[in-house]
Amino acid sequence: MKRRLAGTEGDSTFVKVAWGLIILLGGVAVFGPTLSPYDPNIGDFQKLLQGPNGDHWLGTDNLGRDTLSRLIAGTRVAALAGLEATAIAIAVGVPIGITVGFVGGTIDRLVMRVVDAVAAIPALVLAIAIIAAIGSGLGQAMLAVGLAFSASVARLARGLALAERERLYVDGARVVGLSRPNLLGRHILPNIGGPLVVIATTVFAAAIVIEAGLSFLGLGVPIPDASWGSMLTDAQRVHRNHPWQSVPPGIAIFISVLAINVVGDSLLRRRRGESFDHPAGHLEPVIVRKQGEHTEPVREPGRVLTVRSLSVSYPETTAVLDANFHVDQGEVVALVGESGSGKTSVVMAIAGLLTPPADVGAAELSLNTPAGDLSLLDVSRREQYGWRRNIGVVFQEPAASLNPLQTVGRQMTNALKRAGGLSRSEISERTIELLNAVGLPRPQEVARLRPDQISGGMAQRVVIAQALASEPSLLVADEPTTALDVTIQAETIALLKQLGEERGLAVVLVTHDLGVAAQLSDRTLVMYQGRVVETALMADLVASPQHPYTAELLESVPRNVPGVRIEPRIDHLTTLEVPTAGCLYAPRCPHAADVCRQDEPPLREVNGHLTACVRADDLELAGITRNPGVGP
Amino acid sequence: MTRTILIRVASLIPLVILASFVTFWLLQLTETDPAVVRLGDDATEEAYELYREEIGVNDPFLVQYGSWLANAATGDLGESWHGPDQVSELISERLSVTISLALGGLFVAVAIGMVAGVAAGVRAGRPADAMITAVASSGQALPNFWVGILLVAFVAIPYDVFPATLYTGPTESLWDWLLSITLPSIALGTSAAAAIARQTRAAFVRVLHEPYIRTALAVGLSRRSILYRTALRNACIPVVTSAATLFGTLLGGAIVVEAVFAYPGLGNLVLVGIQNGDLPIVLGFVFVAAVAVALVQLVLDITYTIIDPRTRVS
Repeated sequence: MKRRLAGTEGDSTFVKVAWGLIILLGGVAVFGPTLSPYDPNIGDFQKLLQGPNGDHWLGTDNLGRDTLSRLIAGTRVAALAGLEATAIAIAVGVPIGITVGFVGGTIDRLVMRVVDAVAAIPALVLAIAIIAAIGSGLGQAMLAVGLAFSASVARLARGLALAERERLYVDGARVVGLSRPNLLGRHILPNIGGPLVVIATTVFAAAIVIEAGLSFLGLGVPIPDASWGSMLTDAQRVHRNHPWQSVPPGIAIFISVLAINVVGDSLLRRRRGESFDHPAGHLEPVIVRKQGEHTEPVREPGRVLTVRSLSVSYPETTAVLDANFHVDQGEVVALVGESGSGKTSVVMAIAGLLTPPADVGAAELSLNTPAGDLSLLDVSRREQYGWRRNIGVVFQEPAASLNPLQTVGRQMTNALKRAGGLSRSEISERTIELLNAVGLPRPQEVARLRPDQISGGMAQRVVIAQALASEPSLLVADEPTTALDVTIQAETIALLKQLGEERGLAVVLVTHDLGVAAQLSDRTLVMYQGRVVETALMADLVASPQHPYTAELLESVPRNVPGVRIEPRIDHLTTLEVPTAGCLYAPRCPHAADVCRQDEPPLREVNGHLTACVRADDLELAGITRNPGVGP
Repeated sequence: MTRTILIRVASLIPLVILASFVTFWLLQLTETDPAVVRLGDDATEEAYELYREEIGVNDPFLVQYGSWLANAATGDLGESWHGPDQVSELISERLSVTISLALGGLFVAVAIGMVAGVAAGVRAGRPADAMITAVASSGQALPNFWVGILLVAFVAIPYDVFPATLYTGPTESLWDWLLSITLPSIALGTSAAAAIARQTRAAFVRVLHEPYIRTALAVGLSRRSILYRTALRNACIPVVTSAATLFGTLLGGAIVVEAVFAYPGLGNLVLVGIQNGDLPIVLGFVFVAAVAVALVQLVLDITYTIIDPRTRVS
């Protein structure tokens, strides 16, 4: 997927400017003495405290020394300080961290205790202690800063070494018989480089500030040498009458720290690969655009959901193309297909929960509720909320779908409050009622627990109870059983079936597991690469598939073993090129003929199914005579 | 809850002891002779030796440390080498200044930082967010003592509201105390506030990508409720965790900032101590700093268990 979108382009010019500044400052640090217009330490007593002028571009200080020359000399001090502190922090921290992370056990615990203790002393305080022990001066000061920061470097290195050690390939390498130094050189050090560079920028920036602070206190460079910090000391002596004296050295510190921070941030961002393009996360779902020709929706009695020409696309892929289906009251429609077939995009689009950069369009997306008809096309945020109130959603990861900090009861209360019109006592009554309805034993007790205190199966029941809080007409469930144990899966399926029947809900179920679909659904849509390739009543689909892909799915259902993922028959799937014309399934299809590679086949009716296979009439595809055995 | 607190206290004590041990070990690397510090250059060798015996510097290292630690536990940090004063007295006279500034700085940092960070987080991806983030990124690069110098030069001196150099203790006059710590606290807190703002904003954005935010939306919670209840509390957790480290940085920064304002704090004491080679003062100073950091850590740990019930020991 495309990572770099408009937002990051602006950042990168900013980062380029920062790199430019760092190179410039580095150049000044190296060539300082030749660039300097005056001797930074010799003043002209005729020219005290001048403002900027032709001879002295940034003016002179209280001893008549040229401010620009002193700034240039200070640049070298700052650069040396940063380099020394960073080098020491890494030279001390990395070996300690890697060694203890690698050795582990008691040594690790003991050493890390000492490291924690050193880290508990503020860097500047530790620096002062070290200076007290070995005397003041730039070198000592930076030794101190380096040591102070070596604690956090050691922690980082240890964490990385531990993580690398845990990794399977290192275990593998150990079995293969690589020696420890070898392991260190080949596997651990290369992986530590990236994070180290990021932390090095932090240490460098902090060292510049602390050097300036120590020099300001008189514990850094010896008088009369120029450091940005000691320049501020001189400036402060005269600030009552010459307040501008303190501006140039401060700006020098500010600019260099800012440039280093900006570069450090960009490196960190690159390492984490985080996309900041859509910081609003799940909070601001996209609005579904109206597209295609406008026709008056047909009102069928009992119809709950109508989807016409639904398409979902991302910047570089099309997730769903032209999906059409409807769901009636009391009906369960399943969307089946392998991962990446677009089935989750379909239900999340229906639930109004797809987030940018998804682009969603449809000719019709409408819901017939007891309170009236709703459309999700070109709606306002408020209308989108109203739409969602009529849909209950069950997610794939029950544990992650609940707020970790609130009790089950509290979250139920919030959901019921939004559903509206209930008094406080009615809310607590309804909470218990709903938790009971989803089959949770002792609902009062469960209501007092937090998500980390209940099992995944219980969490999924709570999610279902929340979905029912607003008494929706439609329930959509995205892989509701995938994250659960096999026995819990069967129970959850039974629960969904029971709730659908009792409450006359229309249900859309997404699953990769034909076994699950066969148990729950009345009708099934088979999806392949964003296209609906076959639609039929579940029993017909299973008995006589009219699309080779459906046949492949049926073939791969392990009989009597529910919950096993559908494995594609061809295992070198990645090597298949996506065809530019014709049927998308053709490269994988055992029945593909020349006719399949010409135009993309539309859905048409064959033997009571809708199928997108042009050869459906000619093929005798194998089905399963009875339902694929599912359930424990 | 009490148990959780007791366990935290128990884990902080060894940390403080270890920190004092590391410092004690560091300081005995010095070549400074306490007898010369105390008696000057021209005393007799017998007098020197007598003083060394008296204060115990001839004892083995671990014995010296043991007796120092035993005294420290009772609040006795030993006698200054330079003069007859007790280190603990010297420190307690000046502690109020430095702690006032560090806590003031922490207050500024947390108050401004959290508000700005939340303001950016709830507008994530909008122009206001970009602006706050840009200002915070720059603000983070402002050295605290330079901000202090600018505040003195351009606020305290021209306008006669805040004192430029005069510290007033909270026991003398609460109002004057507040006035006297306002500018130094702002100086100390600016860059930290920027750091907290960025961190809060980042935590917010991370939380907004969590599946439970999508559930909250699906269940029908309002944008306001999702942002200010669900997201805010979850986003606070990493920020509270890092505030302890931040306090350490602020305590270090307070040493420099009080020099800008010429306040009689620990910084001034320890600088004179270093010039005089008066190591007990330096040792006592580091010890007190470590204790202060540990105490703040404790308070934050407790806050943390209130925000995040998962961390309670049951």
